[in-house]
Amino acid sequence: MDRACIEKVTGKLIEMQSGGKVERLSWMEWSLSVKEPKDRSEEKYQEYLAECDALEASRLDTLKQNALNAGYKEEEIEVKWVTNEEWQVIEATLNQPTPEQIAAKEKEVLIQAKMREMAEAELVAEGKLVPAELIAEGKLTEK
Amino acid sequence: MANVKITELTELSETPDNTDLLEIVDDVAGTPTSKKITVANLRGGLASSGANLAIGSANYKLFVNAAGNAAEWAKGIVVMNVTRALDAAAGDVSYSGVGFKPSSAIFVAGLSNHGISIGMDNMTAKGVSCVFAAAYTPTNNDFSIWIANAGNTVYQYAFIKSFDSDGFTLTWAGVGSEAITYRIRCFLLR
Repeated sequence: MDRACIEKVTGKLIEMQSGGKVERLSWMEWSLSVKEPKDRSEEKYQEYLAECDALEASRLDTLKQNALNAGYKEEEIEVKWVTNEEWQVIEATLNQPTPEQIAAKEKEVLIQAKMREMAEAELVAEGKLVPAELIAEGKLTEK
Repeated sequence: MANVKITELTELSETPDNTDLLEIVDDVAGTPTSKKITVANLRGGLASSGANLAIGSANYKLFVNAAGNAAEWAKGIVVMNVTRALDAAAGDVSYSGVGFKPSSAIFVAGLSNHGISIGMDNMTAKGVSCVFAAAYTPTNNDFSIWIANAGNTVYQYAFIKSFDSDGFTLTWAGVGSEAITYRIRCFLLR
């Protein structure tokens, strides 16, 4: 599981940090790791599990604090755990061109096509270029 | 048994029981006093110093724990991925989930058709080398991460401000703003 901070209104990723989940020890694993026999109690094990929960909450809170420090308001953001599959969906949205960038690119392509058309027409008028449609129809060959 | 040197006593040629007794000199620096101690208490002291630490997982390494009062086995190496947007505000950013306090870091930041930077940082020495679009190849010894847009007109850089108990904090700064996001791979050493 990874952690992601999203801007609610736009769905924009503010930040991602991988990992953060705590691998909890089973009762047996945990009891073997405790040196003092008197500390091997159900109560102490529950305290250990609560510490794991608190650590995970703290790690998720890291992204929230980062967003607040960057100027976002708490109600503007959502901080959550994401699976690998969920992260791939989010990641696919990153670095996509904006509508303005797409429009600018389309405009650039149109301008280049128009300039090429004008240049070709000029060359045809000067007799330096055979129109492509006449070549295609077999009426003329390339010079 | 009076007036017998320890070297003259019969040797216990087997592992002592926890209830066996040894002689020990207490408070050597103050008022030295000969006392007895059980093997159990002696073993407890050795365990807390790490000398009697149970074997850990395969390929784990021995570290002093965060409190500095006992030894522990741990991996001591973590790889984590984070993101950084080129329109994010300058300032300190915390990264957590490492599981220990790192002492050194290697960063590899990259984005297709834009470039990569490779940097290292232990707060004492740091540096970054980059290859970006349009032959933009900054090399710098003041930062450990450098990211830039395709035109190299917008860029951000960072260095480690602090190593924390569960991660680290980067101080980010830069020039301009653009809505693109870099992936940064972090290799952290305890």
